[in-house]
Amino acid sequence: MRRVLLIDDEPDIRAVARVAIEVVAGWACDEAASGAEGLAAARAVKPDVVLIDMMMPGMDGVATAEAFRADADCSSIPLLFLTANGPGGDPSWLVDGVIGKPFDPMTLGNVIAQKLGWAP
Amino acid sequence: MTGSLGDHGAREMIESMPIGLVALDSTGHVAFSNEAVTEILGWAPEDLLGKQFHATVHPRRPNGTAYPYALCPLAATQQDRESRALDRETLWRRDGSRVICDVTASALATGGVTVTLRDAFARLELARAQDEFVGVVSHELRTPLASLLGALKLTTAEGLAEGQREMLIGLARRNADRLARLVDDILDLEKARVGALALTRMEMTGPSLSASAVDAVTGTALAHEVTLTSDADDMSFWGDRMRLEQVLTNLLDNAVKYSPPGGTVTLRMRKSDAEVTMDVIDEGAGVAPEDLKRVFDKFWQIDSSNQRIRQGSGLGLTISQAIMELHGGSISGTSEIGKGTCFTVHLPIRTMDLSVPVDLRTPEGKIADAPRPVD
Repeated sequence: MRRVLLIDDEPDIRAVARVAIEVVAGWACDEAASGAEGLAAARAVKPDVVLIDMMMPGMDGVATAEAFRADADCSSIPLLFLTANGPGGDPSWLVDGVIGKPFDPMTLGNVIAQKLGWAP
Repeated sequence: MTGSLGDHGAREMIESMPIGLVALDSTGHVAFSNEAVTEILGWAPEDLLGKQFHATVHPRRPNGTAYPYALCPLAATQQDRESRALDRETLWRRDGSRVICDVTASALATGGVTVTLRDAFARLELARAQDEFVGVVSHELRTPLASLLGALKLTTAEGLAEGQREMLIGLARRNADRLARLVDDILDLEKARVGALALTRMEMTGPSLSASAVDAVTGTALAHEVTLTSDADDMSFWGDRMRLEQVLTNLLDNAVKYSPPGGTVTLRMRKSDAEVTMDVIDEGAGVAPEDLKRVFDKFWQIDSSNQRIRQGSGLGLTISQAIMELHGGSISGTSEIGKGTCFTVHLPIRTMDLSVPVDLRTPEGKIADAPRPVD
């Protein structure tokens, strides 16, 4: 079974994404509320993909992605940004893809699979 | 010049206008410059007079490379007599520093060119602040909207576990409420910004204002297991009752949310000769001095990862401060880490200002006899 790690400071967004991933996509889902928490979780659970919210207080999405890329254990885990197209420019070079917010929970799994070239 | 202004009046007008004005002769040398040019470029009229304007203030491009006069749009206007406007042009001050200006050049019948200069800093700064505000607003609106839409869509998903559907509906509702509050707050803030937040003044008593404000947050206090107490002098004063209630409710709501369970929040109203002070005191974690300065900033929240507090819009204190400024007052804060925070609303007591709309109803709904000064 695929395993998704979701890093977002908004608990309600995490709750929605979790149901979308577990119930609709049928995958496993772990959550983290910050970049640091997410990195620790990734080392423990070895997810197949990490969804990272771009706008987070303190360590933002870009800093989180950079930390993943620099981490010996996690540098090869695929990363996807969740972004509401707020300020910050186009950060897509850092990650494997970008998913717009608000995302459609009914198709979130399909979008992730498509961005990463996973077989349906 | 014609009309009653006369040459002297016209000259005085040009010299004192807030836009930099430079007259160049047909070879691009300065024939005249006004006071605003001195302010923008640091060149006094007598020092700039007779200088080649382009070579003096426009000798280099923003990257520092030479800017030949022949390539300057001002020279082009000199040649083809067409007017030009250049936004955000980099000019060089007398002290060698840069200044970004909006520049226009128009041909004079005498063969020269008139140049106007406006320092674009304020405009660029405003545009930057507006961009940032729009960015933050769109993020703050999209976040609850995303939760709301996502949760509603998922309610129809197959395979939801027991209770999951109810959880999603609750989540949607909570985010719809947050969105509604945010929209109200953004509109209030916008009204305050354009000066459309009008006060409806009326006389009220301290205890009745205090009671309504406390009532409004009783539910929240219960949910957070926080005790609310109030202590108001028996007094009356004038102000916009609805707006003052909004300010106090906002402060009390924050105080409750930042209090530990079992804590106490106190609302205290006192009257002195010059003002009514309303203290909202909590026993929360306290706010660091550098953060206390920022609490009135738009969208700023002390710990935005704390979900108990995130439910607010981050605009409440900014709006409250604007409301108190309209009353001629203010809000100040003092805090001690580990002890708690006290926000004080200062409402000056002054003769009622008849230039603002006055609502003659007293809090009890009676019509007052006539507007009268506050005692």
